[in-house]
Amino acid sequence: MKKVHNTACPRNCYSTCSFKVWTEDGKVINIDPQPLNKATPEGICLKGLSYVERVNSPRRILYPLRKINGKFKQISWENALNEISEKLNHHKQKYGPQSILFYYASGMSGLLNSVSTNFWKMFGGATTVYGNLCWPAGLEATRLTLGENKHNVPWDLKNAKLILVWGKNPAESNIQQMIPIEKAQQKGAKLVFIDPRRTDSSERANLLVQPVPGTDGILALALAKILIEKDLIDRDFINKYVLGFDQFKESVLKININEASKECGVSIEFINKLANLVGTVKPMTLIPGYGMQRYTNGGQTTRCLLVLSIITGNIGKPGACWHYADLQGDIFSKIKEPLSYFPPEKPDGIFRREIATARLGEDMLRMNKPELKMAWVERGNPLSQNPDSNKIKEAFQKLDYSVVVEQFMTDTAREADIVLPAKTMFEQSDIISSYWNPYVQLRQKVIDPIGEVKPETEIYYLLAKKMGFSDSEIEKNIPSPSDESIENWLSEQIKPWPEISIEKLKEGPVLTPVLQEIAFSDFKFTTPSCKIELYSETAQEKWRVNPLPSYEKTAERKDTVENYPFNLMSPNTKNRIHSQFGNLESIKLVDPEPFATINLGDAEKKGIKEDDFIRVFNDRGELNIKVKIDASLRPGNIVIVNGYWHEEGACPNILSKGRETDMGHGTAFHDNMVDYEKIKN
Amino acid sequence: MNKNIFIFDQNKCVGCHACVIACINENGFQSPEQWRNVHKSQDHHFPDLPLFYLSIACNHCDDAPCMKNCPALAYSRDKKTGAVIHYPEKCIGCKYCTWACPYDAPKYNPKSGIVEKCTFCNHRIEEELKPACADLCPVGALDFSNTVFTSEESKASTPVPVEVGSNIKINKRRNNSGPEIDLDIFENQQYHKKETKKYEKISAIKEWPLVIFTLLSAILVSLYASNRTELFQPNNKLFYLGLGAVSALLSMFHLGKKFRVWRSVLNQKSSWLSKEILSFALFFVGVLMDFFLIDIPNVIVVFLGVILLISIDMLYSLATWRWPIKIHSAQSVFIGITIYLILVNSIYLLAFILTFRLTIYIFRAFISSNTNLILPVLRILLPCIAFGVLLYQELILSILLLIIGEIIDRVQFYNELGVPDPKEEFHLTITKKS
Repeated sequence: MKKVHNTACPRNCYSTCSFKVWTEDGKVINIDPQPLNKATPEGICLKGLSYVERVNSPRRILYPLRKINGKFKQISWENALNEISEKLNHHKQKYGPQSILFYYASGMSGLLNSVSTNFWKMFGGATTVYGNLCWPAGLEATRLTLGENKHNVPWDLKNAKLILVWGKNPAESNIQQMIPIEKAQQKGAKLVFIDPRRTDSSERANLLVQPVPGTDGILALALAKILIEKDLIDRDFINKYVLGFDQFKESVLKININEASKECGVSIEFINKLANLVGTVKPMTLIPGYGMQRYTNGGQTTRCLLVLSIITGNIGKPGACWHYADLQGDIFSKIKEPLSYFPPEKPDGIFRREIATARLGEDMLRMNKPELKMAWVERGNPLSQNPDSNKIKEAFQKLDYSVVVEQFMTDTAREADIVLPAKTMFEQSDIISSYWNPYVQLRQKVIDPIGEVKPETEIYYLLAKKMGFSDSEIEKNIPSPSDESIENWLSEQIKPWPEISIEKLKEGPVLTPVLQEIAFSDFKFTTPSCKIELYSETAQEKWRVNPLPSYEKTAERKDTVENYPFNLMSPNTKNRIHSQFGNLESIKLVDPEPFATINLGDAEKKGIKEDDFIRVFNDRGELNIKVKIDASLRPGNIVIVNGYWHEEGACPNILSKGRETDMGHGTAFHDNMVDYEKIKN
Repeated sequence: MNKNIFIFDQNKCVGCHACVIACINENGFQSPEQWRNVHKSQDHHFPDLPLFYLSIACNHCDDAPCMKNCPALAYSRDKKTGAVIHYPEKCIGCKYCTWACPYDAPKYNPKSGIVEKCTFCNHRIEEELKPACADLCPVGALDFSNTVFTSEESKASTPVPVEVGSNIKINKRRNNSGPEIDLDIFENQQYHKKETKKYEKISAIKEWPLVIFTLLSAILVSLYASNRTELFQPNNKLFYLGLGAVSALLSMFHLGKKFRVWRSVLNQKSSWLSKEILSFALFFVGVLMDFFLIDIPNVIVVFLGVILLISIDMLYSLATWRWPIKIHSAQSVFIGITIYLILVNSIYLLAFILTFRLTIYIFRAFISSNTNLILPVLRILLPCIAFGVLLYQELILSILLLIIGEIIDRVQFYNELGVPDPKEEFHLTITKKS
């Protein structure tokens, strides 16, 4: 019998598409669009469509696997759980619970993920990480300035007259954003991109400005100076809502436009063009991407960009907003991002949270009293996704024992002693929200787990039983495996909001009950001063940065790093979400093998042609990869997209350094200078 | 009257390939080639040119060239939906439809030995659903509609300048240029190079059995027509028939499904390939009867041979669409006539036909500004020498020289054939303006 179900995509992606999934005899067979979601009405991206393969893939891990003499062999759940519980007890008794690293990342979102933390708490604690690989610098910059992270609903973008997309490539990373962009363009809106690359998104722009990576801050400040000098600013707005404009003005007027132009590699002519558009076309929505803030200066860069929205009064109005992240859908977290990423000021004695995600390998090796002896990894693939892979590999190989819960044999799973089969999004219900569209959604269970797959909650449940925790203690922390129990647990989470119920969510996406369609339209800002803070004392106190938005040079740049003159950019591709999807046959049809993109002039200088192999290297590592030529990439840059596996020989994190951003405990892996040369056959 | 059509908006497509995966989910995995292609308007992304996309599969043309040219009647139109449907069990894998289709819709699968193609998701249309690709385009760039679509609209929309009643409506770009950028950043590199069109679908190397088949056919027909009895001694007769058999086998080798070869004669109405195979068979039946059974009038057999050569030439006419003149010096009929005239020693007519052919040859070489001059020079010299040799009554040497010339010309003929290709045409749309 064919059946259709509503669900939503739980990947770490802006779009968080709603879609419908068809099943027949316990098998996922096809996917349909879900028009009820106003942000993703037309359909899901190619990755979402490839779920049909992903869930049914013959390469999925369907049974517990034990590494024996370097090879993985299928074992029973009974044996797997026995062994793991022995190891857990052993390490807890001998070295203390904090000798065990509990690591998770953003592989699958859902409220039930908190059950994992409950287990480790019940177990007596563990070592965990703080910070995040993705976006905290920008979140923190926005929080410091506007008080919270929210933006206008995605479909409001069609009301903008100027869309300034800065360092984002929505055509690949948030494809449904192209719908309101096109609508706005049909109505005559100007579309402007700032990006060293020329992407499928910027190809349709009116203007594309291509600065040197990592110098966006100075470009923004130069624009701000011109706007102030030409009096293209919204004085009323500034007077009413902005704190610190005078100090900012004083500091920004000192900027020398010639020097700024030289620093960011954008001609004065183009800086003026840009300033003129920003100053005269209203309303403007400024859409910053997440790539820029993954530099060592990421937070301050974001604050510099924010200036443009603020001094032109483009906040709190239809068509006008700072479109960074919308956390209005997250009604569940007691502590919201980015605060939840920060290490505790006072450790609770249960969880040792002293490892920075950004420095995972280095910090893991640094841990003592107790040293790390064991790791449990779920929803993540740190060996390919965190910076400085070699260090992480070293740290994992130093462990006595590790467990990885995975769907496929990833780089991290390969390093494990035991691999437990992970559920897919179709095999357990959960509730998710988005950081772009304002919906709360049910990711529905539509099939029973394939093979011997068990959802993480069930793994923990069985493990807790095996380890002899009392039924009442288990019940308090972990829902029992039945579908009914999971639904009850989820119902409990949404109880405070009568507008949302499981039944309603089954019918489709539900708008967040706290939604403000036009963010900050009440002009209430939850900063310490209750104003938009151009001048932020908190920034200075907490992060030791300039209280004003200021341009700081990145740690790695052409003139400071000897021998490595090329910026390695590692943006996202439409064909992967981080390290997921690239292993699927259907995705390989579109993207068969890893490649690096270089500029035509650079290639000619080095005698490299399309499809040649090059060696990309720096002090941290090297990789060999095929070349594609993009004559529109700014010279001096090389692009290797994020998400390639070491197994494919092309993971860019072999070259990146574990380093934190200036604020928010983000990861500055985009400060990454390299060189490359042709490999002679 | 309403028709089912694809609608494609160039302003909306960002080349995401969701349509390709949607098709796979609906119709099964497709490898090595996918039914739907997403073409880029340029490969190297030159900064002074725009880059945009064309998502295209089968346009279910009213005057479908695949169906018209299929010798095996493997195509038919689904009356309910208007879809052009290919029936795999009827396909002989001759690949001729892949040449005939200007949109590159039929895909030859070397693994199965047959062609596959888009079905318009006619099973979905029957249930009043859009084709999967159109239903699932995440930005609404590819769509489907049941609407009035005139032949003028079709002509205005077709991504390849042919008039076959394609059922795709294309909303063209509002602005056929890329974003304004600072070109000074790129002064270290050459701006876009004029890329010459390269039609790669047909080449002499890939189609070598056909090169030999068509040359042998011309030689064998002219040999027979010359009626030079001294050549047809019993041993020579067997050799002659042997060559015919080799020729037939070679043409069979070209098929993906060799045991379905009998199907190749089914479409006498509109496929020149069917006519070619039938006239080839009838010609050899005639020769066989003439050699060993009854004395049938030569003229009948020769007539069949002429039909064969004309069919061969007509067969390739669809791949000559970009040629400035439609006649080629290496057409089978010309080769046949030339050899015939040598054999019957008709010097003046031979001089005439050779001059005629060389004229077209030189004209073509001049127009196509072929940079490789060795082959044309050799080609021109060979018949001249052969003609001189012939004047000294060295028949065999003369024929030999001529045949070498014919091989060169025929190889060039295959290499010059080009079928309309959406990708190449799409590339042209951005360079035409500049």
